[in-house]
Amino acid sequence: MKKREMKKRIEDGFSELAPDIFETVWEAAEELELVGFKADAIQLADQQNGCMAKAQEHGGQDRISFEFGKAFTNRFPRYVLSMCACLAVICLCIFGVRGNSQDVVYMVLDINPSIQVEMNRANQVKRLRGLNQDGKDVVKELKWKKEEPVQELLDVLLQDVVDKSYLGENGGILVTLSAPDKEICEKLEHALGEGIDRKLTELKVPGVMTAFQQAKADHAKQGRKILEAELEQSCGMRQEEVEQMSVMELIQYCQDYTSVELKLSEVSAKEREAQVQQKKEDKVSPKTENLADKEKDDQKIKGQKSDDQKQKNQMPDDQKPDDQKPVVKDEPDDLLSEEDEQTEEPPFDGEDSLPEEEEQQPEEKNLPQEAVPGEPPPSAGESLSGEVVEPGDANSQTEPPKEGLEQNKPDQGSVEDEDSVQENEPGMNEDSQGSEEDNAPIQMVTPGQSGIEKDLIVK
Amino acid sequence: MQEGTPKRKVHIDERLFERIRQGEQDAFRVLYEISYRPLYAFLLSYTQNAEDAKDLLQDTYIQVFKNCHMYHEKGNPMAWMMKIAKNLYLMQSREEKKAVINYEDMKDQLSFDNITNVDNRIVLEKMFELLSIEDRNLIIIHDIGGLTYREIAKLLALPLGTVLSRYHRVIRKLRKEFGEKL
Repeated sequence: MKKREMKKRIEDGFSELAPDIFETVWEAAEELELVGFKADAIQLADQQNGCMAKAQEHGGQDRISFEFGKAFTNRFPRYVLSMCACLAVICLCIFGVRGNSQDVVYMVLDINPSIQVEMNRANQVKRLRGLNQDGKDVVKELKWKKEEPVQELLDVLLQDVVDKSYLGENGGILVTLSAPDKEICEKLEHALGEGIDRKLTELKVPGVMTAFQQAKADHAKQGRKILEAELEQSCGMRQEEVEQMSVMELIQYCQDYTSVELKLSEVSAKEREAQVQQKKEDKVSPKTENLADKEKDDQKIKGQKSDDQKQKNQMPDDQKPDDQKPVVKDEPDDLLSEEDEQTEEPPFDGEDSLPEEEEQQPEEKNLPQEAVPGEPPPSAGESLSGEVVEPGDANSQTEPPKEGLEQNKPDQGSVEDEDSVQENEPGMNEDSQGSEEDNAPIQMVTPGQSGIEKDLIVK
Repeated sequence: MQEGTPKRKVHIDERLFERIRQGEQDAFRVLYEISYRPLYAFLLSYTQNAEDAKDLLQDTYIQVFKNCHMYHEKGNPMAWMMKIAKNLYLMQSREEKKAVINYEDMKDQLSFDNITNVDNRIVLEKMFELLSIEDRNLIIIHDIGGLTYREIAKLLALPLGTVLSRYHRVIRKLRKEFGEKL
């Protein structure tokens, strides 16, 4: 059988077998309402043909399709879609990072060392950073785990700091918190304050003052820098002086003389209250006792002071207390107030006596002075609360303020200064000194005194 | 028919679909007359059951009628209709979980008694007896449906070379069989 004949037989055979079911099909189509469906179908087809025509116009002949996805890709070129995707990714990155940064809580610990702790809202530590060289050294050697609770980190950190003698008795810890929410800061202050107090009690380090302050996250300065800046602004202290102050001093100065809000931990607050109370008592007792026993004590004091005077005169000037240092003759006049300038006496002529004001001043200067917030810090020889501290007092906790302090307090101590000027005024005769003898215990030999006077003083 | 297009064994004017879209029964009738024999042969080859093939043929024309607006003038309309028929068969097979139908099981249901010409009946009987479904489909699609080898390859998802070699092997096999007996 030939190939063509075989194909013909196959075709004929199937033709005989195939049934004519056109009527059945048409009826089925009518039953299915396909005939009525035509109008919608035509409309839909027109729309799709329109899409196809547009796609052809854009040169996508090989990509003709009625599928929505493909039509979409035909309408928008791929490079536009990829650019959109890139933009979306970039936006996600930027806003994602910013969103996370808002949830970050920063804590700066100033002991010294100064360390910045970055943590999340759950108070899990994310990063540590040393803000100064000591801080970097401590962070480098500190054993801590990422995402561990900040309280545990503080325990380890305090242990390390105490072991390395960065923190000892009467030290200070300044904790600066910056968080997006103020409530977070308050909760942290409470929790951290308790934790620090507990750990310090464990480590048997008493007298540590723990203070908290809040700062804005975007603030240029963090930690103790904020307090330093405040002291510079409100007290006129120099930057070098402020930078050399210990954390404890910073906290105390800022509490006494600035409007910075510092919150103390419970233990520190109690200690602070006790200190204030004690100072008040110390202030009250001299007032009452001085009036009653003043006359009795005067004699003893005279004897003691004359002995001290002899010893101190033998000391070099650098080691003498500030209030007993010889006053240089060319001390600036602006230290005296205007009233004092009016009543200021001309150079001593050897005959005039001191005015009444000056006679009363020695009593006043012995009275303790109340520390007033906003006033400049006290001068040398005074405690932080404004009390006059005896020269060489071993109990004075704070160092005497630096020279800048004296320069920036024209009113305070002007009487004393004037007094000391008067006492050491060259040309002052014996009689005047003798009348002031009780109130001017210090007798110094100044370079301007004549040889006769020197002999008299020595005698 | 567009100028330049090759002359096909089964030629379907693509404008028929436009007329069918507008609801012309005559156009649908023309389309049916041209295409129902290859389609039935194709479906019978698959199903090996006259009734199933008949049902599927009806469903195929329903789908063609329903989706004639989806047809775009590209390619062979017969290939498009055969694709619909094949998909319907596969769907039905999947539903009935009888994708592979054994000829022995269907033997009693497949009857060529309606064929009056004895030689034609013998040829078809031998064809269904000797050839597999794929081989039968190759003969039907190419020789009755008039699809090109390339269109067959696309429809059956086979490489073109496979289609060519398999087709010629099947023809040789049938010639050998019928040459001896007829």
